[in-house]
Amino acid sequence: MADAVVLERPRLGRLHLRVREPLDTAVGSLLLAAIRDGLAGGATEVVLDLRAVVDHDPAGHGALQAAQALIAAAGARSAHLVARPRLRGLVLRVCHELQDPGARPVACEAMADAWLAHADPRAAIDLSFAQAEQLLARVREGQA
Amino acid sequence: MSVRPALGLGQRLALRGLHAASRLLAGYAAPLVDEVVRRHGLRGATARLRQLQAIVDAIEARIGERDAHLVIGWASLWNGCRFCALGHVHAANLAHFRDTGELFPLDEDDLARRLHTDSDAQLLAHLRAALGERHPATLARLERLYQLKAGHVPHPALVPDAPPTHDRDDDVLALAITTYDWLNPYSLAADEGPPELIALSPLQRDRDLRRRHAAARAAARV
Repeated sequence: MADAVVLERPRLGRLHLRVREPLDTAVGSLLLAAIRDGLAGGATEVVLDLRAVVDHDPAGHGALQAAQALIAAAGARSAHLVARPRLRGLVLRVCHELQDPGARPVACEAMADAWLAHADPRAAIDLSFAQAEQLLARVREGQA
Repeated sequence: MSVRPALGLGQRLALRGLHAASRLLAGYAAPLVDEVVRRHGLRGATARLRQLQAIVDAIEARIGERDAHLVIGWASLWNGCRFCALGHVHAANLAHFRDTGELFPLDEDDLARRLHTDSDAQLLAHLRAALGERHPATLARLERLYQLKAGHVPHPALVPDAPPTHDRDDDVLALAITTYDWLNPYSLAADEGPPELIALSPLQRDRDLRRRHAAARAAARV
């Protein structure tokens, strides 16, 4: 359990945590504490690697929501690395519940870097809608 | 902690009318509409949902009814959205069954289980095993969808600052991904448990087709 939440590669301004156990009450508490410490230490970006998490329970949902609320309240941006639909759904749901504009699930570290470096202040969800509208025009052009 | 605006009386009444009209015209009502109204108001929600329908129509015009629903279904499946994933895969399965008289090899019940338990890699392996032999073009399309979704193939609509692309087929897939990256948070927030299987297409109204498809699927499972 001590290794359930691991601090990865220290980097200026970025907190990078890897969660290695199912997300439940105990792991959620560890995650919350690590995020609180990292934000207190001046992190403005959070990468949360959930790729090894295979399951979560309602307490895990609550813990992730509490952790994300801390990140949003600190004005930090975040990228959640996920490798299974159920976890991606949990992250999307939590970000939607909190209306956190600075968070999005990603599949790889390159996408996390790209998202965190992106200067557009719009939320991931609004960006997606704007991108869809632009793509619709291109797809219609292709049909013409 | 959660920020969830309440629906006003006028919004609730309008939603009741919208859902009734949707049941009549499409054969189903989607609870996610309430969540879109909650966030954007009636006018904003109506504009967005109209745009959503235009997008689905455009994808269908480009790649055909069955593959459009498969692409949309899998774009939603990667996001963990059971309602949209199963609803669109079911619509694809019904279209294939109507056109060929055969079952498409993606069983809705099996996918529902896998959505709960499988990793991306396991789902891709399942997709290859199910479609590889008989539907290689559709498999290639769904594999490309995942490559774009995961950023293995950077598309500028999905990976900030990625170089421009001139691949129109990738644009169609990226359109499905961006659209359902936008919609799925609403449907995930509105999903309150295992739903009745609904085909998210006009085929939901074809009771005879749905009955024959369900009987064939049940027979194949024995």
